[in-house]
Amino acid sequence: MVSIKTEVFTAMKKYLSDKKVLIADTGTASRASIFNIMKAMGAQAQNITMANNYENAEEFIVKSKPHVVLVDYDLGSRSGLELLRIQREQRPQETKNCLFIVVTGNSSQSAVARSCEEDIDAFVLKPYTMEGMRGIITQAALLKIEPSQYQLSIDRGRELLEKQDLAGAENEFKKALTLSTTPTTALYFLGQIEFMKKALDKSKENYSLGLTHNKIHYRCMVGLYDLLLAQGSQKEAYAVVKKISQYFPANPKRLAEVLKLAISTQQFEDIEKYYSVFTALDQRDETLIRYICAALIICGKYYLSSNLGKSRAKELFQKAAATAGERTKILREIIFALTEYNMAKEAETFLQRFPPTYQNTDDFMLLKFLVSQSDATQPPSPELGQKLILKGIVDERLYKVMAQGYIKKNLKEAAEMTLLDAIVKIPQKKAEFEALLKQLKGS
Amino acid sequence: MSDASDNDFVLDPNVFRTFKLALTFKNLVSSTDADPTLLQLIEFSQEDKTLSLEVPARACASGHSVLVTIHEVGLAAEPELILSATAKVQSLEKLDDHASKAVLLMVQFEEEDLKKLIGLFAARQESISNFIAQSKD
Repeated sequence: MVSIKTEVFTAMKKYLSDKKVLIADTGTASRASIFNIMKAMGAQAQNITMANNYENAEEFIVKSKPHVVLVDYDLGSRSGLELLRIQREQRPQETKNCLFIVVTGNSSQSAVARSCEEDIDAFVLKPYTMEGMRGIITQAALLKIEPSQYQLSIDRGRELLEKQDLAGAENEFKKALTLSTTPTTALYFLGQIEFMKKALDKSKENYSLGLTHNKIHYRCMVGLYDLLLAQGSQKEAYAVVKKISQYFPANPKRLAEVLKLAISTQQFEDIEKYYSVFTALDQRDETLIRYICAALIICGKYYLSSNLGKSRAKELFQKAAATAGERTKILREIIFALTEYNMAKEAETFLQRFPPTYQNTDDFMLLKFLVSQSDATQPPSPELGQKLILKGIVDERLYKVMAQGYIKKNLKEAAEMTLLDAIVKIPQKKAEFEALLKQLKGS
Repeated sequence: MSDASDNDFVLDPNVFRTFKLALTFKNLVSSTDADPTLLQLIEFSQEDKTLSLEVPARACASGHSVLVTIHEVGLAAEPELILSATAKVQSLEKLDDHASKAVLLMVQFEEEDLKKLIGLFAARQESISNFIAQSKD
């Protein structure tokens, strides 16, 4: 618990005495409680405004440019965190004197990590004790009221950097290095300067050194990741972004990058771990769901193609299907993967996951056909596919499976006709069908 | 830069799990139960032995005796009872036509239970504050 000494209390009172304060919270009692705390800490009642939704809060920030903003992470359908960017836009020169505090009952990893990424000043968990809340706000404010020599040096460096005075900024950050035993932020900015000067190795050196002082320094990790990507060092970039996503897992954009890099660097084992991270999150948006499902399916396909285990692949497909719910696109991909490897029995179970309304569609009929034809124990019946073609279904897989079926039945002419029809209907795949025709004629 | 080990692959999700509370509020004078969906615990104080709650309008009046329970709705099938207290409505502030803020002075309760409740939140708050401070510098 942070205890507040008299001199600190006085400094806080002075700081808040002329500051405009915004409290944005959908809960009436919560707003009232924060109002009382801010008033007790020195804010003037007439300078405190309360907003019960995101829109009102945004309007107030644009109109009145508050210095201190206390928001709930969840403000209806929007996140209070989005208001931080607006506050910074309104007071670009005074960011270092403003406070942005998240006061929320949402202590999920994603809420904390995203708040952290946005560089908020403090995060207060509801419910709180009055003393605890005052302590946290005071501690955050003190960093602004009485910054350390190190912080002052960093602030001066940043100002010079904003003015594009790279040499001046570099000198200031080098000075900052001597003012702290853990000068991670100074090293981050030095890394940035070297990056801007295209001295990538020196930049990397600074970021890496910064991370030896503080292994979870967000900006150093992101800087290093961007640099490695710029250098084309995918494997190293993956190691860094993997680490970022451990601590800041809920950024959909980054998780997508992690998954893409995991796949391109063939770190398939990690995808299962990302799935565990994903399941531990209590907030998952649509993008995140789609990416994780896609990654699980790609990983499952890899297991099938490399003979690492059908059961393991099936397990991944089950996870993807469970996550997908009734997202039919994902279920389709699973069916395609399983039928490709003649796993008809397994594919059958996934067919049952489609919503009843979907089961009357042409697409579902196509999937059923593909599943039936992937059963190696049954004789092929490509003529069933003909019915689908007559219904107007045009699909590359349909034609290929039909052609294969005719070949198995030794009906080469029918196979040839099917492939010729496919060339007409799907001209963009002409080359593939022509190659199959060539194989057929040569056999 | 070395690869992260499996052990630090994820921050302990339990630390950052949203800690959901389910509250009940029975007015012992009128023998009525408040709608639990309209109850919210805002503040607590171990020193004053008070709880500040958002309650529906007309759920109670100053001086009324009430029975409050606080359960944690966690991963377990059954919510876990953290605190059960008989309390007196110390003050009541009308917030709007639908809600009031009630400060409850707890009279009958297990001191250890209140400590546990406050401790749970304090520990989470500390983890979060440390994480934020460390990731910044």
